[in-house]
Formats: sequence, structure tokens, C-alpha cells
Amino acid sequence: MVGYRKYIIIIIASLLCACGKKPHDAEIVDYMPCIYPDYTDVTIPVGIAPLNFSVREEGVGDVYVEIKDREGRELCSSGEYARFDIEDWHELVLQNQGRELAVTVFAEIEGKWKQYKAFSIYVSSSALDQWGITYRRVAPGYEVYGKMGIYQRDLSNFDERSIIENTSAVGSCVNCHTSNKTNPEQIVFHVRGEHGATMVQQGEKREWLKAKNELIGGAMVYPYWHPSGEYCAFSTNQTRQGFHVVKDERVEVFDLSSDILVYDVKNHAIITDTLVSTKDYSENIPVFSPDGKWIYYTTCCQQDYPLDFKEEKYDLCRISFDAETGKFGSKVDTLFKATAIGKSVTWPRPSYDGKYIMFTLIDYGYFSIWHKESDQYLLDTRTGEVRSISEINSEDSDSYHNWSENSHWVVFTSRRGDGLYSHLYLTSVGEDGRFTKPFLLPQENPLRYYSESLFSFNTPDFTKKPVVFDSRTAGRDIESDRRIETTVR
Amino acid sequence: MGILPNPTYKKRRVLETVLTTIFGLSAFLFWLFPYKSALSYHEQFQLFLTTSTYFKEALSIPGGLARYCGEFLVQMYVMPVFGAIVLSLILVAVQILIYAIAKKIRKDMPIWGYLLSFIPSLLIWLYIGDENVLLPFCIASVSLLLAVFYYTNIERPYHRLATAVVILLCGYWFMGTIVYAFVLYATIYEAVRKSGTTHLVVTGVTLCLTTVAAIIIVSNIVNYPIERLFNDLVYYRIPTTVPLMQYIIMGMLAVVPFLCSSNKAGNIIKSKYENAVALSILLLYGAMMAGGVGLFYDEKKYELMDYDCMVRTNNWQGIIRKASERQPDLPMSVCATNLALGMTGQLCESAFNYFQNGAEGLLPPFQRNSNSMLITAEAYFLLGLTNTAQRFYFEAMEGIPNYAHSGRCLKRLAETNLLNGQYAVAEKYLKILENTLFYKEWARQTSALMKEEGAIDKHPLYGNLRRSHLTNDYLFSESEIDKILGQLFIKNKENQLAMQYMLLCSLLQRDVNKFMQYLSVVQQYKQYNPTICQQGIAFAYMQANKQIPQNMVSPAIIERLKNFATIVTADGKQSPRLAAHNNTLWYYLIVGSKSQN
Repeated sequence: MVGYRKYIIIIIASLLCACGKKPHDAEIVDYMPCIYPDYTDVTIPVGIAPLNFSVREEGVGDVYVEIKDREGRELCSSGEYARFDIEDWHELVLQNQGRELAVTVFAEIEGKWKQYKAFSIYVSSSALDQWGITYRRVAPGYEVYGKMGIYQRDLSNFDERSIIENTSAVGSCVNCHTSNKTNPEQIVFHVRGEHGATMVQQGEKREWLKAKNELIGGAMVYPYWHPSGEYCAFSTNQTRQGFHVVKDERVEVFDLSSDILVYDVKNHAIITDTLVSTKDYSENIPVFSPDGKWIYYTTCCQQDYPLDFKEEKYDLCRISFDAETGKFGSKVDTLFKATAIGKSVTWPRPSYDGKYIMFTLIDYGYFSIWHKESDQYLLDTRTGEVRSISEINSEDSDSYHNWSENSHWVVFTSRRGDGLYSHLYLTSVGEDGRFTKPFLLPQENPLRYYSESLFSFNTPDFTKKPVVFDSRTAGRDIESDRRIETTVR
Repeated sequence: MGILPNPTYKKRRVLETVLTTIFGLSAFLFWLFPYKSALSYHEQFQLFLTTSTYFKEALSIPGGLARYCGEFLVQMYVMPVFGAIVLSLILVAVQILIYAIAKKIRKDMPIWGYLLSFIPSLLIWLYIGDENVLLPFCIASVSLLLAVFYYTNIERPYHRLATAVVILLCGYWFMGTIVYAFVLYATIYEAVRKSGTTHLVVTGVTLCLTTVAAIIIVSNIVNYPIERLFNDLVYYRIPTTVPLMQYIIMGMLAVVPFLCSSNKAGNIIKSKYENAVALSILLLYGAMMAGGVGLFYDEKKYELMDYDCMVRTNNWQGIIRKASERQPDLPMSVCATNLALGMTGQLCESAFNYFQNGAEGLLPPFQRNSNSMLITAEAYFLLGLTNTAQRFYFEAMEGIPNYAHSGRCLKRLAETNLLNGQYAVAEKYLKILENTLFYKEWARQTSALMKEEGAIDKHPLYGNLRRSHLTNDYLFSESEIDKILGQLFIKNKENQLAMQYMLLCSLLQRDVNKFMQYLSVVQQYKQYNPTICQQGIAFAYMQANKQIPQNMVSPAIIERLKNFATIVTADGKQSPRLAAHNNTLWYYLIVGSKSQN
């Protein structure tokens, strides 16, 4: 009985000291630890999930990490990797909004403890004001796709839930999910494959549009909502893929032709215009300005494909759009002539406050995810000035960005981890237009999660609340092939 | 004493043991020898990891434990002897359990009752001939029989019913839709035991409702259409398909224990006929298996599996031997044969000894089919077209219908990234492979290579492949493969495979002029003039009405071509006398490929 009681005491004591004992005899070194993910000196929003991390030093055993604020409040973690209690983390971060936290890492290496130079985590004064993010998770493949789907992730913890997976409709590929200014009550996505469709959901009303309309020459691609929710801009692309033979390149995507159009949601009508459906130019990736009066899009002079695929270079243009009449304007402006510097613009995304247009710049083409040189750029709409956002760019592909509803935060994909698998990074933008060091989307055990995952994350977007989507009935709808025909006007 | 005597208890036990052992041994030998390559086939379309994440993911769907256990065992198929042991033990286990259950129902069973206990095992043996049937079905079958055995041992009716409900709920989640067989068995069992009509109805209705309720509840948890949850998720590789045979076997698993122990049949078949009945059953089994193997084990598919397995293990002589015994006539077997000939330096010597289906026989075009992509991927890999090989391996893995990953593909993907200098990606794949039982050692050794400066360039395979890498960027084109092969050869003159492929490619395209250009390029760098090249030169000169150069073509070949020309001129292309030339280039060019038979 005595022995039994002893074990209970040990268990209770262990629970009370879950943080572990701070190493006393640690050797102090004057450099920061190599940690994964690199969360040193990053800026985070209040409400973000704990930034758990691993120490990646040779021969490392247990780690002990303490996070302290200016008032001396602290949070600690010990074990195989730094893993913080979610509630305690949120409390500490909230108490330090607009201030910094000091993180001290101790690591046991071959039986001896080392104390590294502390690093900072800055808590932004700008709120995120978003419930979470949505993204597509898919293997970075070529033409064949295995398991994939669109998922949503609660940013305050590590919960990920599927919105729709292709297990619901075997053989399908789901992509280009887009909500209206992070509002999941209005979403659109495409289904590719045998049961192709474009799904438009507004509130509880869900419609499955026929994937292709021969009058526009193909399927609707790359959606973006008009702020009113009455329209959705798309492009229609005759897309082809090619595969490089040299070692540093893999896939190339080019369009034999492409035009942009606006879909009138209520009337199931496609609105086209000769100015944005030209024969010799490809118009692509349209987005509405925050006030809905403009459509930004990219355009390039058609080339002889696949021979001259490296000459496919896009400029950033805009055309006005009248939501009252549902008509395009009569003039096209070029906002950024990337071709003048031998580059190509893709994925323009205006901030919802109208101050900026963030886009991706690559050497040629528009499918930036396969371009190692792909970097993020910022166009200041007030001055027209364009600059490389060097503070967030990496040597690998950085692309597929989207703004938070309050335009203070940006989520984007980057292949900086290993050069192939895209992961999600968050960064904030200050009043001066400067971005903070991006941080990798937190996971409960990031090292294990990202090293075991064979998926890329792409086309991320914020969502202000959880997406409500019945994937089982959607699966049945997809397989039913009941589709709404669209008209062209 | 007859062939199958009515033995005493001890003798009967010995006889049963001997028969079961013979059965198990037959299954073992069946899988170890003629159908060995099927083991490799199954192993390559999965990737069992020893991580907790993998375990959790496996258990997150109905039938997940069966899948986990099945994949655990299938990973051992890399050693065929283990695969043969696993499969034979499963078949034996099914038979023994059926018999044990039958004995619980009726103790004094005639010998034919014992023989009937083989029916489900034999059916499973045939059914797994379908290459898409997965081991989890067998695992689930064994688990079902264990549950049935336990259930049969319970005496009190309502205790049995409660147990059955628990078995159904747990069984559906862990083992999948095999629980249908349990519902059937339990209902029949209650009828046979004469537990009363009320109890029978209560049992039947409760179990049916429990099963349906379990599936409906699960459909709210997992992202699968309810139809698939009612069919199965883990027994068959093609997600939308459930073969009828699967349900027949499920039915047999439930019904056969009662057949074995049938009192009525036992009374009808008096003991004096027992031997004759037993012998008839054995003969029937023999006939069923003889016919069934032909029916369920598709000869062509298994032939391709043989080729694929030999390509995977680089057993080039084995491929050539097999092709010599029976002409390869499928695009992938032709591709494998040509690759084997190329790897042994015989492609331009004896390619026309085998059936050829054009340039596609060297490198078949891309197809969205994992089976066909692997052999082609291997050819691209060995040619030094690393990017294309990488694409084929990646697509092969993504194309696995049940969304599994592939150890074989991931291993090659680690290598292609290693060759391309994408070390971070290579390291990622190697780390994943370190979480396997059978790729772990290789992954560790390969990781070590990355850390050693220059080790990859010095590696006998990797170094040579790296030297073949193209440096001028353009987009791969299947229609211009001969030019790409030419560039590979120009890049690395030691790339014998590319050289042979380039020369033969133009001939298989029936473009002799192009062949002559490629040959002249080759001969700038080395003395290379094997039989097929000499035949090509001779044919080109004859076609151009020029004197065949005797310093380039042997007199025997010139003589043979003249003979061929004479026959064609005299008797036409259909002349049976041309059969003597069916292993020549000019036969391929003028008449068509060598007969497939």
C-alpha cells in the first residue's frame, strides 16, 4: 500500500512540474539556437496557435524553453521539443500585444545543457480578426493526383478539418476555392475530372455550374468575387503543361489562349467583352478592386507554344467594371509593365483597404509555384510605385498570397523549406508598407508534421469564420452530374 | 483400408493434419515460385511506416486496423519467402478456424465435413488472384472467424447477443464490412441452435440494425460517400469497385461451418459412402483450382508482373530468358525486354529476335496507370533522363487508386532528387523511408552519401547518370525522343544505353536515313557496328541502289539481305519463305514485326 501511495505522489508531482526543471548548470553560449521552424524574431498576431518548435542541433536530447515578457510573466516547456500549453500561450500573447517576448532555449547535448542566446517574438498590435485559413492540400505532382482536398484550419489551435476531399467523389480534383473577402458564406471552387463543375455557394444555396461553356471556349478558372457578391470574375484558359528536361526545373504551364469574364451569379450569365477577350493576347487571373469598380488582370502577347514558352510574359492591367449595368469599361490601363524589365506578373491580389496590390513576379509564364525565382512584389496604388518585398521573399518559390480582411496580414506559400513542398507563411504589413519576417503556419509538432507530410499547401486564404459545407451531399452532387447551364451575354 | 478410411480419432487427426499441411505447403510453393512476382507487385503499391502518425491515419477509417495489419505484412513481401509464408498461413488459418467453428457446432463430424472446411480458403486463394484484392480482406476474414469462434462458445443467448453487438461495432470500425458475414453467421447460428423464434428474430433484427446504424454514424465522421462505407474502403484497390466474389466469400465464411456440420447431410450420406464422397470433394477441388487459377490469375497480367519484378530487381538475364521462351507482346513486356537487351549491350545485336511494336516499344508513351508507368520510369532513369523518370515515378505513386504511397517509387524519387542536387527533398524522402523496416538501411546509407562531398559523383550508378544529365533546357517531347536520346549520348559518350536506344529508335520508326545520320555520329566517337547496324547500313545502301560497303557489313549479312530481296521480288511480302528472315531489320521494315508467337 505504501509503495502504491508513493507512485501516486510521483505522478502528482510530475503533473505539477509538467514544465520540467530548469537546467541550472547550463553552459551559456552567445549564439541563437538553430530551431525548426525558424521562429526567431518573427511577428505574430494575438490569437495565433502556439509557436511550438524543435531544436536542430547535432546530438540534441531534451530541450527546456522559457518565454518571458517584460513583466516577468513566463511560459515554459520541456521535453523532446518546445510545446506550449495553448491556453497559457494565448494568455501570455494577449497580455503582450504590441510588445516583445523573450525566448530562451536550453538544450541537452550529449548529457550537457547549453543555454542559447535569447531571441524575440514580437506580438503585433494589429489584430488578425480571422478565425482561420483555408487551403488546398495536394501532392506537388504533374498530371495525376492522389488524395487531395480543400481544408480549413483554426488559427488559434492546430485543428484542421476538411471542407471537401476527393474521397467524397473518387477521381475528382477540387481547386481554386475562393471566398468573398474571407467570408465563407460565399464560396466558389472547381471540380475537375469526369464529373467537372464549378460550385457556387451563397449562404445555404449551392449551385453546380456546367464546367465548360463552349461559347467561351472552355472552363471557368481562377475566380474572384465582386465585393457585392453579385458577380464573380473568372478567366477561361486553354491550359497545357510541359515538363523540363534539366535538373533545376520541373513543370511548365502555358495557355494556348485565355480570356477573362465576369459571371453574373443571379442570372447564371457570363459577361464578356472584346477588350478582355482578344485574339492575340491572353488575359488572365482577374480580380476586383475592393470597391468593385475595377478589374485587375494580367495580359500577355500570345506566343508559339510550346516552342516559345519562355516568351510568355504578362503585364498587370486594369479595366473598369460597372456593377449596376454589368458592363466592362472601354479602356484598358497598364499598371505595371513587367515585360519592360523582362519579367512576368501573376496572381495580383489587392489589399481590401485599397492601398496595395500584391503580385508575384517571375521570369516567364504565370504558374509561379514551379518557378524558383518567383518573388512577391507590392504595388502602392496611391503612388504607383512597385517594389520587391525582399523582407518576405526567399530563394525558392514564394507565391499564392491573400490578404486578411483588415489588410494587416498576408498568408502566402513558399517552398523555402525544401524547394518542392509549399508551406504556408504569415506576415504582417505595417503602416509604412514594410512586412515583418514571415512565420511558418504553426503545428503541434512542426518538425514531425512537415517532415512526414507529402503534401503541398496552396491557394491559401483567410476565413473570418469556419466554412460550413456538407461534403457528403456535395460528393453526391458531384457524382450526379446535374449541372446548371450558363449563358453568355 | 480405403484411400480415405473412416479412421479412429487419432488417425483422423493425423490425416487432417497431413491434408492441412499439404494445403498450406501447396499455397506456399504457389506463391514462392510461379506467382512470386505478385508479391513484389503488392509491396510496391504501399508504404508502411512505423510512425504513430501513420498508425493514427490508418485507424481513422473503417477497416483501418485490417489495413494496417495487412500493410504491415505486405511490406515483408520484399522477401518472397515471407510473402509466401504469410499467404499460406492465412489460407491455412481460415481453413482451421472454419473447421474449429464447425466442430463447435457438431463434434462428430464426418471426414467430408472436414474437407468442406477448405471451401472458403480455396475461394480466397482464387480471389486473391485478382491483383487488386488487398491483404486486409484476408486479415479481416481471419478476424471474423476468430470472432465467430468466440461467439459460438458463448452459451447464454442474450450474452451472445450483447457480445455480437460489441463485435459488430468494433468489427466494422477495425475490420470493415466483413461484419456482414458475422451478422449472417449469428442469425443462422441462432436458427440452428433453436434458441426460439423470438430470440432468432431479435438477434437478426438487432444485428442488422446495429450494422446499418454503425455505418450511418461513421458516415458523419469520415469523408466518404455512404455507398462506399456500405461496400468497403480497404479490401480492394479500386475504390469504387467491389467484386461479387468478395460477397460470395463473405457468405461462404458464414455458411460453410454449418455445411461442414450439417446433420441432415450427414444422415443422408451414410458412412459407407463417406470415402467416395470425400474423394469426390477432393477431385472437385482439384478441378476447381485447375480451372479457377486460369480464370482468376490473368496470364497476361501476371506475365507483366514478372517483367516488372525483374526490371525492379535489375534481373536483365531473367528478362531475356523469359522473352526467349515466349515472345513479349505487350507494350510493357516489349519495353522491359528492350531495356534488358540495352542494359546487357545486346539491343542493337538482337532486338529483332523479339517482337517489336515500334519506337513505343523502347519508351512507351505516358499513361495514367501506375502499373504501366513503372517500367517506363525505370528505362528513363537508367537512360539518365532523370527529370522524366522523376515525373513517371511521381505520377505512378499518385496514380495508385487507393491513394497509398509507394516504397519503390519513393526510393527512386529520393534518388532522382539526389541526382538533381535537390538534397533537401531527397533528405525528406530518405527520412520517411527510414521509418520503414525494409528501406531503412538503404535510406541511411544513401543519406550518408549526401553528406560526403563528391561521393555521388564517384558512385558507379549515380555518377554515370549525373554525367548524362542534359544542360540545355527545353520541354520534354515524346515525339522527339530520338533527338533527346541523341543529346544524352552527345552529353555522355559512355551512356551505352542512350546510344543503343537512339540507333534502334530511328529504325523502329522506319527512318533509315535518320539511322544513318545517328550511326555516323556514333562512329565519330567509337567503333560500334553490331548486327542490326550492319543490317541497317546494308538496307540503306540497297534502297539507294548503291554498292553495300564490304568494310562495314559482313558478307553473311549482305548475302542474307540479297536472299531476302530475291524472295520478296519473286513471291511478295507474304511469302512463307520470309520466315527465315523474321529476326532481321529488313523483315521488320518490309513485312512487319516478328510474329508474336
